[in-house]
Amino acid sequence: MELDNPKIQKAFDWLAMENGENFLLPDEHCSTRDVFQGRLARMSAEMERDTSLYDIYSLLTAIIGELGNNAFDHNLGNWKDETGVYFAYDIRNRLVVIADRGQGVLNTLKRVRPELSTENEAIKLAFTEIISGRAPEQRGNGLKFVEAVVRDKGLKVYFYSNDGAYIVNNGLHEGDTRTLHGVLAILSF
Amino acid sequence: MKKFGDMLTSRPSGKEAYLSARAYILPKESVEEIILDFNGVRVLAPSWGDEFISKVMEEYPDKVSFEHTENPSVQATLDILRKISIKE
Repeated sequence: MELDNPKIQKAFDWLAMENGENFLLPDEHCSTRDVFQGRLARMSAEMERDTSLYDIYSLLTAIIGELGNNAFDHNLGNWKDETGVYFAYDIRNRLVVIADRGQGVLNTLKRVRPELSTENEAIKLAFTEIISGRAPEQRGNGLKFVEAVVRDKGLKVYFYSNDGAYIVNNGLHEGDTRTLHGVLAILSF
Repeated sequence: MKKFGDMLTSRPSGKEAYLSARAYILPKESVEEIILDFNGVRVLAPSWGDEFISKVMEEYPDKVSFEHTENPSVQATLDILRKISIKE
C-alpha cells in the first residue's frame, strides 16, 4: 500500500499542523463518539455489501471500532485543539484511516507506567500487554485484539503516535518516524 | 444479544447495556445457566464485551454459556476476553 494515498496524506497533514482546528471537512471529521459510531456503521454496511469482504467485514469493523473508540476513551477533555477523530476509508483501495489530535500513547500510559520514556516503548507495550491508562478501570484489551486479528488474517496496520511508529502485521516492526501531534492508524486489508 | 443492537462496539454502550440488563433482564436469584445468544449480531468488539460479557461472567461465575458464535468478530472477541480472564 502506498502511503501517499490522498486520504492518508490528509491525516498526516492534519497531525503535522501546529493547530489542527478548522482543517477537516465535515464528512471526514467525527467530533463526537456518536458521529463516529454512525459512520462506522455506514462503513460496515458498505463492506458487508462487498462480497469479497463478507468473511472479514465484521473483524475490520471491530478493529476500527476499537481504534476510534480508544481516541475518545483516552482523550475526552484533553484534546490538543480540535476534538474528535479524522475517519476516512477507501474500500476499493482496501484502506481505512483514523487519526486524533490527542495526547498519544506515551502520555496515556505514563501515568500507570512511569518508567516508559519513548513513544515506541509505549506503543509496543500497548499492543502486547494487558494494560490500561485508565486504571483502576478494566481496560486495555483493544490493541491486543487488533494485533491478534491482524496477525491471524494477514492484515497490516501502520500505527503512529507523536514521534513513534510501528508496523503491525506478523508481529511488531518499528516504522519510519515522523513528527506528528497525536495518533494515526492506517488499516490495510 | 441482538436486542442491544447488531453492532456492539463501544465501552459506553456496553456499560449502558449491562446496567439495563442488570435492572430488567438478569435474574436476581441464583440460576442454573445464563445463555448469551449472538444470533443476528453483525459486529462485536472487545471494549463492548469487556463492559457487558466480562461483568456478566463475574456476576455468574461458571454459569455463562454462548450460542450462535459463528460470526468472526464474536469468536475473536470471546477469545481475547477468555485470555484476559485467565491472566487475571
